[in-house]
Amino acid sequence: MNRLWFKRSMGCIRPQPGMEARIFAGIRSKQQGRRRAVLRWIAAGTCAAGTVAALWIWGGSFRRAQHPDDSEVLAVHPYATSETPEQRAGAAPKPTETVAAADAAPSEPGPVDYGSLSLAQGETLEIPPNMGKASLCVALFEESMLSGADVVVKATVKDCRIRYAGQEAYAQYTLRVDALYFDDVGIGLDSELTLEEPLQTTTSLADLVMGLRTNRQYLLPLCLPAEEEGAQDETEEVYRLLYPYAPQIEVSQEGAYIFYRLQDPDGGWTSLDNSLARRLDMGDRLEQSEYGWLAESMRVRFDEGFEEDFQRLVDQYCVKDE
Amino acid sequence: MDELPAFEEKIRRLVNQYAEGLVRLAYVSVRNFSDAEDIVQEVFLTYLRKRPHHDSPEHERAWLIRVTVNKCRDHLRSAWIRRRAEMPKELPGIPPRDYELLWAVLALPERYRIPLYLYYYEDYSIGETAALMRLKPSTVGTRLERGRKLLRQRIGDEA
Repeated sequence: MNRLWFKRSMGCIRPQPGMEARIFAGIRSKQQGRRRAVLRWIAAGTCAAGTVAALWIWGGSFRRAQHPDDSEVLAVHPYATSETPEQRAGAAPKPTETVAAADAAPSEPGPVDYGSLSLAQGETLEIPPNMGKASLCVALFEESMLSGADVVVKATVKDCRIRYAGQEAYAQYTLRVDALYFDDVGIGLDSELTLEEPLQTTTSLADLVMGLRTNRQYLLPLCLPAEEEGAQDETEEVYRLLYPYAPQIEVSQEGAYIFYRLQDPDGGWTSLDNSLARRLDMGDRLEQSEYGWLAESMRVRFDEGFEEDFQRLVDQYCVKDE
Repeated sequence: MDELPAFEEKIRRLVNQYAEGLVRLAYVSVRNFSDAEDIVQEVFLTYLRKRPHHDSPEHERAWLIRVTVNKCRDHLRSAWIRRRAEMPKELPGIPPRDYELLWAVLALPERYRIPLYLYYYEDYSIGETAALMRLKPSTVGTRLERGRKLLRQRIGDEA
């Protein structure tokens, strides 16, 4: 590569006149505005399909009250959902009988009842009481976004907690890697990963079908962090979800794969929604939430070919560096 | 209490000294001047919040570049931006040969653009580029090699 040619070409990228003044004015404005409000709206013209997800904004006063010294605190919040006292006390979850997924598929045609699936009990994160609420409008997930993944794993959530760091709060999960579909980083099977998401993202939220739960297994496209200098222990690799604004693919205990696919416009896991996929009836689990748009879009597959289809999809979009 | 006045001169100096280069770097990543300026603005706001101490101007510059790279990555992660990021139709006043290389670089996947830019334009070594991007040096080496290969496929052996 001719370095001089490269420099000359890149040098053609010239910021528009007045750039410094605009940036400086923006710094002043944002610095003042930051004190008053933390509501942030992201809007896209392409999301007319009503892809509105809830965004919970963390109340600064609550955090201040909890952590007046502004120090980084790790706090575990066992969420009293349906876990037993033994589980809450740290006992290992009961081993579950493994049933071949295809055998477990309901034989009658029509939608599959979500409640009929065998899903591990577990805990999810407690929603802090002072969270405000705002709307976030995002584009739909498309399978081509997989090209941004650094690793794609099947993983079991072993633990969840909230990490406080100054003004910020994060949902943190410990994952055990059960299978690897793509690995551009060099993680191993059975290794443990730390997944971290800002509390505002959908998958961090408790009490929703899409919230990640301990003891459950998911297929997770992940990417490496993009933390700011000094924001995190630099020796620890912390991953983020590639697309945290929708439910991740969940694996039931009978080996069924729960995912979503939107039609009109197309979005979600479109290629996985083949003739073997069945509609998943969520009952009223989503009706009262702002995720009603997902109600007709949940799918489940019991066939053993799912993993092959998923691997094929990953291979199509994920390019290995090494 | 406004923090800015006390820090104003320093920020002003930093903006004047580094903003153009950082906007160029951000543009290579996000391919949109408006977004690139917003990202650089956020970088300086981060500087304002954290007030990092640096032993030398080189460290200061490296810190700003590293935060810019991270901000760009965060920006590209936001799903809606993926649809919006488009290649520029043309950049006026650029010789065709330079435009050809520029276009070819901007058309590369993001994971190759930034290592190429830091290595060839900012003159960082592979090790330094790896540190800035929080990647292993071998990963940066591979990305540079693949980026060059893709460029050769697009514009011939000159690249």
